[in-house]
Amino acid sequence: MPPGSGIIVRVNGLSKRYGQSWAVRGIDFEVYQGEILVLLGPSGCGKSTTLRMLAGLERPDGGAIYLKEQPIVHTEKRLFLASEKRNMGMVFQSFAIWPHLTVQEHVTFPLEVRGVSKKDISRKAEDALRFVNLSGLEGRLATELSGGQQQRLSLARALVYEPDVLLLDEPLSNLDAKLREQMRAELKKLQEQLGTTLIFVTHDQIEAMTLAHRIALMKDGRFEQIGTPAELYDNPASPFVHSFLGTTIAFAAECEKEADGPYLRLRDGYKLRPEAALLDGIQPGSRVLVTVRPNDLQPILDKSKPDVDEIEAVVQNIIYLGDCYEIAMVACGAEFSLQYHGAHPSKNQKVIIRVNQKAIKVWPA
Amino acid sequence: MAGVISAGRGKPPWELRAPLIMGALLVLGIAALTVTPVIFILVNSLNVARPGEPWRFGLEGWKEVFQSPRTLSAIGYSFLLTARTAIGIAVAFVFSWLLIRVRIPFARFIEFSLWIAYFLPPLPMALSWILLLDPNYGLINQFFQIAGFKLSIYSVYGILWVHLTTATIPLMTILLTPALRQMDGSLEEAARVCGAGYLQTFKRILVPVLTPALLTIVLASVVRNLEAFEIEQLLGRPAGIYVYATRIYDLIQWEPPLFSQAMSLSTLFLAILILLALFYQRYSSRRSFATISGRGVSFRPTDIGRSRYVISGCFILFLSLSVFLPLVFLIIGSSMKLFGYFNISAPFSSRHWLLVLNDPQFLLGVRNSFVVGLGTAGFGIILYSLLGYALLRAHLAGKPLLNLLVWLPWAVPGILLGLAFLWLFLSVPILSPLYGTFGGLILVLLLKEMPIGVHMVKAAFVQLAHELEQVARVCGASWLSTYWRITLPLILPTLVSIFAIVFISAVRDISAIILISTSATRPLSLLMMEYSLANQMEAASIIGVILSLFGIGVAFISRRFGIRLGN
Repeated sequence: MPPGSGIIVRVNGLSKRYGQSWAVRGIDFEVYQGEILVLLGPSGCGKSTTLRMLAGLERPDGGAIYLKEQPIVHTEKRLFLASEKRNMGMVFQSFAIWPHLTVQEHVTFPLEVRGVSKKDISRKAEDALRFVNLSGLEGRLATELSGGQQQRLSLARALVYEPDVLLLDEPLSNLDAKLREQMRAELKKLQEQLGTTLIFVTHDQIEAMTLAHRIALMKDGRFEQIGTPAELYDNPASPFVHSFLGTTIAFAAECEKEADGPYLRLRDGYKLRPEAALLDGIQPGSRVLVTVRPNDLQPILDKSKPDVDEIEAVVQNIIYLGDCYEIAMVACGAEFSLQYHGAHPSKNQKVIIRVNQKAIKVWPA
Repeated sequence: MAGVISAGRGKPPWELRAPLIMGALLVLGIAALTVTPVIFILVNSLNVARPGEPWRFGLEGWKEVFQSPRTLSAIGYSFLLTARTAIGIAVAFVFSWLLIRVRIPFARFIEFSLWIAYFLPPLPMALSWILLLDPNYGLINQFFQIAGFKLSIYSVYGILWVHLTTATIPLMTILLTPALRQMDGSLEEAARVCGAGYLQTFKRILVPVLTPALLTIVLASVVRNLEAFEIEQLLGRPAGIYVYATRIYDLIQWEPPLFSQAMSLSTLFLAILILLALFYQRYSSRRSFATISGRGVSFRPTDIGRSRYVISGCFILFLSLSVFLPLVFLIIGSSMKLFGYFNISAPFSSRHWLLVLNDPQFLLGVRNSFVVGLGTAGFGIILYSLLGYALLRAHLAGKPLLNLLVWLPWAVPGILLGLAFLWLFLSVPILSPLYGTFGGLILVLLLKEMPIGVHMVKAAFVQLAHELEQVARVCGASWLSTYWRITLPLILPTLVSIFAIVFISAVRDISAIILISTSATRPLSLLMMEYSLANQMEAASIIGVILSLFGIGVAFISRRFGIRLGN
């Protein structure tokens, strides 16, 4: 189980409709104290809507949300706790920097509206700004800060009142690539220091993999899979999960049977013979989808005829990347690229490739 | 290839000096049109001679302004009645926030109804309110009489109410909604999540962030309110309430006309208005908070549960009271035998409609309205689009000055513009042939509509990416064929809207032309004014119905072609 281990947020059957279409279709999940849960998915999958329902910025059409086992939203009981009463923190994609306030005023605002005493306000504001490395900029107008500083300010504003949960809605997508990487590391460090529970929305799988204790992968308003990054990467629950995390190469195939047991026949007649257990329950003659990762394809030099677990590919294009060559090729109707360090085949050359049969995944087509 | 490249680079030598010459010519031409009336009013406030006689210095006019109790009271009422700006901005703020930020049923209908309210001519609405709230025969007052009290439309409250419902609130809402729509909604959401309630978010985030937009709208509204004429003329006069615009009209109606006092009073208000207007322009040209934030974040209106029906209900109630009720009663009033008398036997009749429709005066009025409206809109489109193009796209010297000159008539109330041109026509020999002609009316209206017309053309050009024209030039098209085949088709929808808006403004105008129009050129709007002042309410309301239909038509056209009044 993730760190902390007490359940802090519990969501039951949460759903949201916009007009006729469902943005979120009845999802259930728990968030554990002190973990980073990443809601990952393509745009329009409902991840931001889910986060906004947690924040109280959208009113769900069905389901319930519990914070520390207390219901804050319960559609059947017509319960909806206003945003400002939830003690959650939120960092917006746009940073939501108030253009008329200074840096200092940004962090004192949440404390003032909470009626915190003057003495505590200045101490907490100072701590929060020091924590995100903005000390010394108190008097500046927040709009004068750089993108990264604005990002840190909006983080300080969300943390200054010690919220139970910190919600982040694609907070890094407005930063340039270098800064994004740096902020990702800083965010992870901050979370480790504070132990705050984070719910983080992103469409970037690398961001999700590097930050998350657990990832909830969403598609069309539902969870495809929820688990640790390794679980999702190694044991994807669907071809969608497989292809969303990392690069995936997919081949159409048919499951066949012969004397030695079942095997997979790819286009052009190549054979793959994975462990029999993998093909259990698949009807001989049925169509399937075979997925592998580029790492599981190994080019074999000096060979002209493929054996079992080997396919023949034709080189389409060669791209020089500096430290290696990326060779684009086609085999069995699928296009993919492999990286070569050193000697590489030339254009239109045929290459024999060995498929790591232990790594392949088979899905009903 | 070589040809394409050199097309972007080469420049004939005459073009180097052209910007200066063109700029100077434009500045002088526009200045002649817009500065002359202002100077004329100023100079003649120190003149005690009659028009046509040589100029003679004297301070009698100014003395009168500060001694005549009626003039002083008119100045007082002018400022008292601008109180509607404060009421209007408060209501409009709440209205536009609800329309943009909250998901309510019929939001589009409500927005469009406000749009229609803005395009309805104010005078017919006032006529309708007379029908409802005349102290003697007003329909609502007949009900109130049972309860033992009555309201009078001929009062400060009556004037405020008609202004607020037909112009101030609809226009402010129309101007404020784009500002709110542009403002990044997460600024409010961040405050809510931080622990601030609706009221605190409103006070500490929303109002400060929108202050620049609010202030420009308030200033614009104060200027507009100080220009109002016909409502005050119709509703104020019976109660002895004069504002300075109606007072000036009053002074001109004397025999002999009290020109020097009128000119002095005009100068006083021109000074105030131009000061306000300069302040407005300085302020509105600065970048506003609302437009710098929001990095492409879409904002969905919030669901608020069942109270959304209550909010929509309140909107519909307001619109019914302010737009639909007077509109319906205008139509009812126009088909009554005796305006306002519902309890006589057979109160309705088509007699007045038949009389008016067959009246040669009316038919002449229709023709005159079309001549004035089409003339102003037609010449306006050409003039405004050339000026808009010159200000945004052309390589010209003196653009800031030109901008200021184009926009100067905005601060000159219609009645003053009319007064200045009346004097010009009467005292400058080469201009005197214009007196009593359509040319004179169209010239004055062209000037009056110039600021808004040029503003709308500029807004259309700003939306049109310059690259679209540049790429045509690079492809080898000349300036003219670029304008004809690329620019014009792209801004054509806006030009159609501008044409319609200028047309309706010209057709419904009263204040700018009331002093310079003669019986031969009198359009429907003035005929309606005369009928109402002569207490021929049935005939006045019939023309009101016709002008209102024009207004509604233009509201549909401009909505169809997507004009935007806000920045």
